[in-house]
Amino acid sequence: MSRSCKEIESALLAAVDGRASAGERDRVAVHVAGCATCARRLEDLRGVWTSLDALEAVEPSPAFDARLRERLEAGSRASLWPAWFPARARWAGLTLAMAAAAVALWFSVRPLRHRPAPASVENPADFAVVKNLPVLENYDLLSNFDALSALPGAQTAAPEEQQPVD
Amino acid sequence: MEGTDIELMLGVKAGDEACFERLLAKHRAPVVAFIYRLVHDRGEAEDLAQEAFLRVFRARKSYTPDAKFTTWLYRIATNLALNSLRNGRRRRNDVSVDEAGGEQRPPMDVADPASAIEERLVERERARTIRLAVDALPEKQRTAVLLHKYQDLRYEEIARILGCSESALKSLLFRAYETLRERLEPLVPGLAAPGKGIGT
Ligand SMILES: [Zn+2]
Repeated sequence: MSRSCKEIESALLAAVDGRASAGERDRVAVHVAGCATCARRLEDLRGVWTSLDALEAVEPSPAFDARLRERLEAGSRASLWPAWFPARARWAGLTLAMAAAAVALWFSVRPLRHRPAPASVENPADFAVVKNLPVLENYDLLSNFDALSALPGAQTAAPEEQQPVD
Repeated sequence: MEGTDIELMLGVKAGDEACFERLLAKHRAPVVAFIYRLVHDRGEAEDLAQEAFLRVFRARKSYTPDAKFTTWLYRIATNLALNSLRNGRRRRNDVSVDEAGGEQRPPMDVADPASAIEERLVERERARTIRLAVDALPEKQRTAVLLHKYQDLRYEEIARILGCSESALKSLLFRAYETLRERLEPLVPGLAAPGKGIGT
């Protein structure tokens, strides 16, 4: 096999798979007209290509989209970070979330000790501090953070659990 | 239609759910078929395809249109399928590919004439031989062949999905088809005897 035979390989491939440019098709035609080996290789390649049509495939089931939607919704509730999010960053986030939750707990419990009225949120200064913690802006985020609620005793720190004490 | 996927993905990024539905409608079938041809299990293929779309959706905010959408999608799908195969290999170790494969087998109609049944058996055997030949290829060659033969992707895209150069991809593909020719020779009457074929 000559060097030109080696060089024509990718054009042979493209001639068979339909991705060839006009120039490649011409090069193949010229080459195989004068090279029996490559004419044979071209036929072999075509034979393999066609035989692969018989490999089975499947169609997505009718439930595909509904199942995907379920997973999307379940995912947005259960998982705070996508799977590709670096683990180290997740731990940093967890630490921040726990600290924020502790601050939230402290702010929600403290006024009740000093003032029996359910006025914890009515103190504008206290509320502003809590509200301005970026991680707490998304309450859904904290309340559904399963890793946090899985920690012993951490349940009480979740903002959604903070009911006014009678 | 080159820009369409990117436009849709930018729509998804902007919070337009209908854009995600359209991307899904367009790519769901080819992605499921691609993964199925790698893992040979329908449930698993659907699961992994859904996971691929989930990842696309979850990463929407950080999406930048610097590569073709399909390159990204198939890269995710390929990684998921290959990981699943690697993890499942031990699990499926003793089960033959045939049993574990869950190959689509339409029920035989008893009313079929014997010749039709025989014809279908031959077809199945043929499909099985082809599947085994493709499965026996090294991982990268197999993935390249599946992307090249069945997915509507350009060389450049396939190369990016597999993380190699376009010329490396072409020679990878050429070697893969050469190996397939040798293995499928009894099946394809026109194919040359070994030693006289593609690669010699
Ligand atoms: Zn030649």
